[in-house]
Amino acid sequence: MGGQQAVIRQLLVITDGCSNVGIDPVAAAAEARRRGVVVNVIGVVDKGDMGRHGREEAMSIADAGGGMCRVVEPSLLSATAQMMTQQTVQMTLQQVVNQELMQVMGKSAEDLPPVERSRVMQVVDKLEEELSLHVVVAVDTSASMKDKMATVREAIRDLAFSLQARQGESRVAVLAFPGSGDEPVRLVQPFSEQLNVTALENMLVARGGTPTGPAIERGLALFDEIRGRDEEDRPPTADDQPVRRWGDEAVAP
Amino acid sequence: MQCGDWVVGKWTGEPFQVERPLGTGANGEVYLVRTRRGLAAVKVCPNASDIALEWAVLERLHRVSGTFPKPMWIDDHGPSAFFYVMEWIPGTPLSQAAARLTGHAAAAVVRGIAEGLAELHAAGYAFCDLKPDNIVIAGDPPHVRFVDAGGVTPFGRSVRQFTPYYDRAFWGLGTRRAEPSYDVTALALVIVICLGGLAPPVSLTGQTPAQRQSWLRRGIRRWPEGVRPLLEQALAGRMDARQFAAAWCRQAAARPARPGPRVPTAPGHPTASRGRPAVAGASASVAAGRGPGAGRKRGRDWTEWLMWISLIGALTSTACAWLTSLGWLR
Repeated sequence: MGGQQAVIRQLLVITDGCSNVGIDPVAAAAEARRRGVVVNVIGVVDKGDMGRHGREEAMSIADAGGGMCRVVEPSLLSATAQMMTQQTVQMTLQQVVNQELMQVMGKSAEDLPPVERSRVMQVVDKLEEELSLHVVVAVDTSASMKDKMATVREAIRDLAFSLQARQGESRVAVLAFPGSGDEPVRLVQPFSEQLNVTALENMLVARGGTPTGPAIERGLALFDEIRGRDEEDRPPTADDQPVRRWGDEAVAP
Repeated sequence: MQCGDWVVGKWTGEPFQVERPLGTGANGEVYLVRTRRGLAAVKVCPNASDIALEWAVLERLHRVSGTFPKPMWIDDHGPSAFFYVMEWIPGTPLSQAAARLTGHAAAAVVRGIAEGLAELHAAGYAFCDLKPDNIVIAGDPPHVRFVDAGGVTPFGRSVRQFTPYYDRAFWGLGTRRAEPSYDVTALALVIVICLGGLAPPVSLTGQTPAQRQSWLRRGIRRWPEGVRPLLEQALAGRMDARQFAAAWCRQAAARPARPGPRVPTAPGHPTASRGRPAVAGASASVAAGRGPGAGRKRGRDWTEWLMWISLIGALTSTACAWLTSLGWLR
């Protein structure tokens, strides 16, 4: 079934406030979803609050991006990031499996008797582990994030560590917004299987606004680059058709 | 689910009545229920997949090991409540029982956990979410049971459910891949943190694994010198569960191993009366009896002083007021 080549793409936004520079992040998230990338958002709050506006924006981005949104304290960031990544993979796959089941049997997994459902889920679970997973983490590095940066860095390192343990191929890229100087978004680390710890250490808060929308756009560009590169590397095979269909259908609204 | 609710399964038609909530797991809730076959526990979850997978694991495990709850049946209730019914394990979680365990009883618990892990490992699975809340001391004579199979994972896969302080990767002690050594490290962490009476500070989450390790090393140094190398080896995952249990019990037989003075921030909440008193000989005195920690003593003295000072102050000012009003003091 070409399961090995199917890729799940996720973009995780870590922020503590509202965007105020560049294009609308909700529109950018909707574009991501259209291109088969799920957008998750985590709001990190330290004692205080994101503010109603920030909270609502976070929700809308996740909604438009077909993903999840959670607002948590810094100490829960790491666990939340991993839980979300895993659940989003599960969700994406289950949508595909349900569509296939609907076509073949006219019912979804929930309509099956529990014992049969259990068997289907075990197959899904195995696929979940073996699929390729590409994640872009976009980190808000505006001034208000200063006290939380150490925790954010550890959370990203921890997420990458979890993904490395998967049987399928996993790659992580990291973006910081705002970047330093004039650039609204800075590439901290391009897609890679190993996390570059030094690059992560150098991810510091920067002066500037909160260009969440441009960060999502840049994330999409990263996915496009790696997609292009992978297709060049690999000679086209008969498997390609179903594979591409999988990735696109996975998050079709 | 509300207490007193009757639930009739969609597929089996099997009814049960909800008695009370037992707790919240990582992905759902567990209730005590009354079924036609007596009391049982029910795990309910809005996600069909989690319930289906856990059920599959419990079914497979109960054929090879009696440590996890025995599965009874799986069913749905309405469109968004998926559940399975299993054996109810009454007892006290280690998180609550730990403070009352004597050295020998603690060694028996460690052996029980290691035996349970060894059975699980022989079946090709790792527990992964081994932590004091998931270890229950049950029955008479007391023995160790595991609850929450949500993290149980076949060897070779990535760990799907874990708790930071009992996760070796959090401490920089290894990968997050399901294998026997993952659980052995978790067991050593349970000993150092829970049986050692430590409470990891929240600030650890902002530190690097190397910095976290130095906190852990300080915890190990509180144990008698004889058991430290053993703990180190287990933390590094360099032995299997049975080897570790045997070595630990040899040490315990010679000299019941307990850490030094307890620090004031003991984990597990002061034991609620809900749970039954655990393990024989686990009378309250011993764990804390090795001398209350210096920190706690100082803390109590400080507040006591404050109380006396404010009392004396209040008395003096009252006396002065009376004396003034009576005209004796000018």
